[in-house]
Amino acid sequence: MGATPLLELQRISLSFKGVKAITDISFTVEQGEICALIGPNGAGKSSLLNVINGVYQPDQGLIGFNGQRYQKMQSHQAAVQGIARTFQNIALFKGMSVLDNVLTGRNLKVKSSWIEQAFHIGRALADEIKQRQKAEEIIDFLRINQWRNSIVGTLPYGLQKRVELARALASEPRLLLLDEPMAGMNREEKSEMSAFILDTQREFGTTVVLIEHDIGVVMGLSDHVVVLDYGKKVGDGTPDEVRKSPEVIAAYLGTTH
Amino acid sequence: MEFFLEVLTGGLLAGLMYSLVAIGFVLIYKASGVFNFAQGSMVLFSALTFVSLLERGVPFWVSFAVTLLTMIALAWAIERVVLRPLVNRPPITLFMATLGLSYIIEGVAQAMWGAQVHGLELGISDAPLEIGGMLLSQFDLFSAATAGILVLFLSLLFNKTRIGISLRAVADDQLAALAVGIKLQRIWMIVWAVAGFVGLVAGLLWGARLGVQFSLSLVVLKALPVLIIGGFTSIGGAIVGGLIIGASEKLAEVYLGPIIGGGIENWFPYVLALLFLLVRPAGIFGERAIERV
Amino acid sequence: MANDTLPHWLIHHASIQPKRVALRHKHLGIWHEQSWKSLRSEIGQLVDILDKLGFGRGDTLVLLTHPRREALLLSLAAQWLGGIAAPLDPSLEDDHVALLLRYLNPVFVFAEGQRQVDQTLANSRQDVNVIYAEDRGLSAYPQTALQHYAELLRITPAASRAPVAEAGQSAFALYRVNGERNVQVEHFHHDELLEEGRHLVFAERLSQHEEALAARVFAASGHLRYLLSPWLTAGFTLNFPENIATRDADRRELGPTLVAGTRETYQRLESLVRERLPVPNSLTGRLVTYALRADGDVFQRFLGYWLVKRPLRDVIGFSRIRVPLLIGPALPVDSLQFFKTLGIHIRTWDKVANWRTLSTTTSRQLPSVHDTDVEADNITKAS
Repeated sequence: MGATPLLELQRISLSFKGVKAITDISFTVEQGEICALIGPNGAGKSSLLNVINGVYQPDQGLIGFNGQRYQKMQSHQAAVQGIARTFQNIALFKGMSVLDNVLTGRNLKVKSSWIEQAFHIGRALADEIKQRQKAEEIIDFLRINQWRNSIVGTLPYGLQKRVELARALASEPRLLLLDEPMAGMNREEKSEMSAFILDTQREFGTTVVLIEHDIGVVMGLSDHVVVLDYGKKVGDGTPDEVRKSPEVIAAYLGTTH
Repeated sequence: MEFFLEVLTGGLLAGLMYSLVAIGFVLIYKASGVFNFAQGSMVLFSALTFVSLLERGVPFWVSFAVTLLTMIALAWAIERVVLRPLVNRPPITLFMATLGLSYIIEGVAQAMWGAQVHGLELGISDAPLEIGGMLLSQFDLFSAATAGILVLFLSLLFNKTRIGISLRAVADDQLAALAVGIKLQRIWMIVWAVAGFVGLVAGLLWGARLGVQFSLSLVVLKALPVLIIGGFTSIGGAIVGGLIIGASEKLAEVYLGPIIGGGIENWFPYVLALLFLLVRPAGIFGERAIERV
Repeated sequence: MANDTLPHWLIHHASIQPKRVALRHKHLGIWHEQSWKSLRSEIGQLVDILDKLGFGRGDTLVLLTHPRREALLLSLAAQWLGGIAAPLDPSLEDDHVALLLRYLNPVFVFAEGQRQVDQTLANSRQDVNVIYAEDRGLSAYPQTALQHYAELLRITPAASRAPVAEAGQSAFALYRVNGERNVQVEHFHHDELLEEGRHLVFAERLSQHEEALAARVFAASGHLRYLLSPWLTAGFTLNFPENIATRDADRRELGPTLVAGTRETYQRLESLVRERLPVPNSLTGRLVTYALRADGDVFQRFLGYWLVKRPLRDVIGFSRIRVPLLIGPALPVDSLQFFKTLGIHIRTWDKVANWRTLSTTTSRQLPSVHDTDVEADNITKAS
């Protein structure tokens, strides 16, 4: 625990029109770990992800990221800081090809100006090759080569989830937020996706925070589990510790077993 | 045959003038999924600003530059005051906002520059020019060339640059666009500024033809059938739609006019558009069915 | 001719057409070309690498990979040193691969990626030398005898030595497990292989201008005989798809003139085309039938060619096809007829397989695998 944590949430609270969604939640995510947020529906998991990447601004509390503190984070700022995410209901550009979707993930890495790009002069060519190269590396990493030119909207659900992960990875994030990356998948697809997430952590050293309902997957995949219930934190520790904690069993695990 | 070609070419050239107006709509529809009712007012406002500056003795290019800056400032203000507070509202809300906006812009224009009709002289003669045995209007040729250059510029901007791919991303899914770090507000501002620029060019050409007056904002009515035929989401569609409308209304006037009476030009495009709506509601190049408001 | 070996033919092309494209492969969405000269120099480096690892005359290099250029280059390098390349069919089941690896007990293995490396390490001797192509997932492996192909190339200086291969030696050995769980082998000698390649080159009038797609090389005898050998004899361009899943798209981009496909290949392509055809009794369906009639007049044939045949051939990447070869089991008559209406005349090339049974492995219980049986049956029938 010598190194500073990558992400540190301090006493975050969030409410919508007086209804408390998140109450006083604090936890830390270490560099390079896979941290799972679990809890029943409506526990505030997605809201918490939205706070981390700046979709919602918390009423109270501080977000520490990469050694800096923020009272609130803007979406754009989060992206610039290296936070990428996927969504529960896939948010892809459905009318664009897989390659173009992945290329939008390179958005912030483009160095040339729009004038250079329009007339294909200056830094534009080198830039284009670089972005394409990086995008292709990710496409290869996630094994979606054969759908490179397919329009995303025409692909099956499981593949779209993979494309969304690809777009997030294309930005070379330090922190990857995955909102139910395996929802609606069968066993085989789930294990494939788990392997991709593990590979991502190993190959790129990316820190991952994910929301997942499948307890089996969560326990196998994560280094660290945070349990939420009614917007409050009721458990925080390694998968083994969490499994044994009475509050957690009462709040969550007990109900599903 | 020669006469037919002459009518056809004249119609095609005139059609590009419609395209010019339609492109302004397409840009904003692509970026924010809303039919910008204020586009006509923007055409009028820019033409009025330009001609008033010119009448006060400001040189041509300076007037052009000042008007362009005004349009950019207008885009900035619209993004700040109208669009930003309405993020994530349904398209109908945004449409109503543009409706209100059109009255404000026209009101401001009237307050600033008065309501009288101004003549606008761009220094291009309207004398016919004989090309390959056809008599063509010099002015039509000039505006067609202008439209061509404008389209080239726009396609470079929207196909080759990051702004283009960001625009498509914003049009497709705003939440996803935010997540990859696209600045929604900046894209909107750019698009409205470019739409303002297109409006300025259209305003000058139409203003030179019809005179700069308040009815200028009604040229948008001609853009509607163009949009229905070409689709709301494609610049190429706006061009083709304009060409189809331009050519067919002139041909109808010349060949059907004697049979069913003159004045066909005024209603023929709408009939054509209506037929298109029945057959292909998304237009030739449209991506999806538009939301009817 | 003592020098009638695969490496000698490679040297031949490197000297008479050094700048022509020998290999083309797709990587990260981009086609990369390699000339005969550069191919020779890369193989020269590989020869040095294998030599340093102790590979020599009569040794076997086992290749556990999907078709990729590195495997081809390493095979040629092994043969250069008088050794044998033994590519295992990538579609083999895991326990068959394990059985073969245990039987062969190889000292030198080329493994494609993590999965193949795992298979090798689990079933091989301690001192096995593994060269791998894809480093993904392998960073945590402690074995020092595990080496990355690209890294080896980077640190090895260019070298050139004469090949020691001889015409009568075995160049390739194919291994398989039959229905009784016996290991079987078929050897391919340099001169025989080249002789058969030449036979095809003359019969089909192949030239250095052909573009061939190597989607399944080289773990099947037909592909060694009718693709690899003609490549080295005629000196044309061999193209590797990005991976097995993209091969149809890559074939479309490439438009090869020579395809050596199996029954399965052609049946898959047939179904791709059939998907595009309209329902037989619809209006468009009747138009297509009309345009495809073989006995039609000039206009009909013209229409049929431009409106139906050409677009359909484009769908499967057969727009430029000149020599479509069928290797192995025969194609049903109606499939042959179907391709014929598209103007694609498939030629069957096959030769008696000569599998030799090597061992009985009753000690290890393997589930009996049916498709191996089926394949063996078909080979006998085809002969």
